[in-house]
Amino acid sequence: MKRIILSEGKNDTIFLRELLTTRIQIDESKILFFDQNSQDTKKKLKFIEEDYFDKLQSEWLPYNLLVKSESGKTKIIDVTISKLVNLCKQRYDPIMLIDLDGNTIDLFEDKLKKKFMNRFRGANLTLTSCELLQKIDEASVWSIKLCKDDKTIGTIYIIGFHLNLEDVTGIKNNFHTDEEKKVIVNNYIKNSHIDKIFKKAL
Amino acid sequence: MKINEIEILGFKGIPHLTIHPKQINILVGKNNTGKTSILEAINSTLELSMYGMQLKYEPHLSNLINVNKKESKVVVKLENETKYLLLKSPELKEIIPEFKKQLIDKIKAISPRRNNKAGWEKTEELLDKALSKNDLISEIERESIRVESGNKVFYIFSYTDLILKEIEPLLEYINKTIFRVSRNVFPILLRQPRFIYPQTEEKSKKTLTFITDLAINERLISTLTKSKINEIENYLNDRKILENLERFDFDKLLFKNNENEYEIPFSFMGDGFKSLIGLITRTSNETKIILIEEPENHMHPIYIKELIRQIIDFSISKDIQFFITTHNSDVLDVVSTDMLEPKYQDYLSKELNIIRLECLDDDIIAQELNREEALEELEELKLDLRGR
Repeated sequence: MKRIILSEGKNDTIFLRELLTTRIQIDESKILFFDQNSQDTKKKLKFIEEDYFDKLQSEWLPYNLLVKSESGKTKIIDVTISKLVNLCKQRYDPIMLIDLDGNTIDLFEDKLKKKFMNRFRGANLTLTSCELLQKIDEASVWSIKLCKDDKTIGTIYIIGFHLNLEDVTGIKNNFHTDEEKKVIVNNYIKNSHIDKIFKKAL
Repeated sequence: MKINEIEILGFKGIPHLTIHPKQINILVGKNNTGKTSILEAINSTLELSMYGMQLKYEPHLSNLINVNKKESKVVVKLENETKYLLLKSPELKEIIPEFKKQLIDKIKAISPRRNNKAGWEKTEELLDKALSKNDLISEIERESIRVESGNKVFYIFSYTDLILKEIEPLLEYINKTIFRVSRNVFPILLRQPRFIYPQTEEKSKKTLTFITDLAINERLISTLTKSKINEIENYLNDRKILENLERFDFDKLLFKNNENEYEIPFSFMGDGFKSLIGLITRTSNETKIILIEEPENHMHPIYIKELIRQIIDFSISKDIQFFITTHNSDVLDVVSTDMLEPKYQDYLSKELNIIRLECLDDDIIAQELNREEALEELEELKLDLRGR
């Protein structure tokens, strides 16, 4: 099954690349990483993004996981809601990786549902309440089901660091280089149970 | 008259969706996502007409009910009232007498020999004989619908090839003894209800207009008054759409450049220009809702921009609500970006509803976006239009 992980920013991409390829051991050649900050042409960003979605959908390309960074939580919600029908049609069941910044999941859930209700108010679609699937000290994974006439047509997974990735791993922006960040996140991944959280969603 | 909500259940390819219109509603989506069906559902509910439905959907009337549903229902909530349309497969006991009555009434309506008592008795006898066959009864049952709206109930029948074949002896008899023509003309007349239903079914002053083609034709021109032509001329001059225009008419347009006058036949004007005029000619003071299918056909982007201005002007000045289907990214650019003057942008910020339709398995899902959201997702919306 093909999947999509949407995350908040560049550090998440570094973290996910290390976690997915080293600890969870997904073949890197099957993962498409899209970090919008590393794209050259901002103007054509949408076309580049769509190209990545096309590559994931392609039957003759090897990719079965797209890891895509957005610019913040609101953007993750916007992209998920905007593409929700297509994501469900493809059975991609998106995973959203977010920093809760000390808040409960309710705040994020409310934002997601508000946007969803506003956009799909006439579509007879509903989102169930967040269900906690697993919790470790620094992170949890929840699922929300998308239903049409009481039938589940898709699932959205939310993985949230209770604080944020940087505090959990010890990354300091504007201080560590990308190479240093890699070493730091690898050290965290080796000494934590974060893989279990991701395996619940994957 | 303004539509506040439309709920559609089982109408054509739409299993169930609800939309909450504003003054200007633009329906986008790939092919077969139900854009036209939504316009047809509104039209059929608010302008219910046996004649219109038969003319538009014959011989596929039964397909108006979604294949996965037993009935079709459209509920249109207006400001002060709610109108509904309920389509069902009728029960056999209802349709056979109704089929017989309608067929005889239709023949009589166009018959040159209405007093031929013996002829009519024989006609009924032949029809009874045909209706004793199970094949015919099953086909009529399959290909007919019961239409209900308010306290109005009627039945419409498709005259399929099988039905026509089964009633062939009757049709031959009618041709020979009533119409007295050698060719079998009656099947053609049955499928062309305009020959059968009286003209009174067509309302003269309609509050809803369904435009499938903005082009101008002779029939339309013949219905226009002098004041309407003046209205068009004033509009063209106010908007400075044609430089040096002195006088507009559907025969010729008169131009004056310095002291030189010259004429150009209306028929020589481009299709985009004619489409622009086409919208003005189809509105009246009574028009409150306009449904338009792909108005951008034949239009240069400049005219698309002008058309949108025209639509907004009508919406403001005549309080007309628009439902527009489009496959054109220029339309989306014009309504969502800053291409129009601020007063138009302000109006669209309040009154634009983009309805994005997508298929999901056997279902159709509608997303409703305001102008700000449409701008944010402009490229995503255009992807639908490009078919990716």
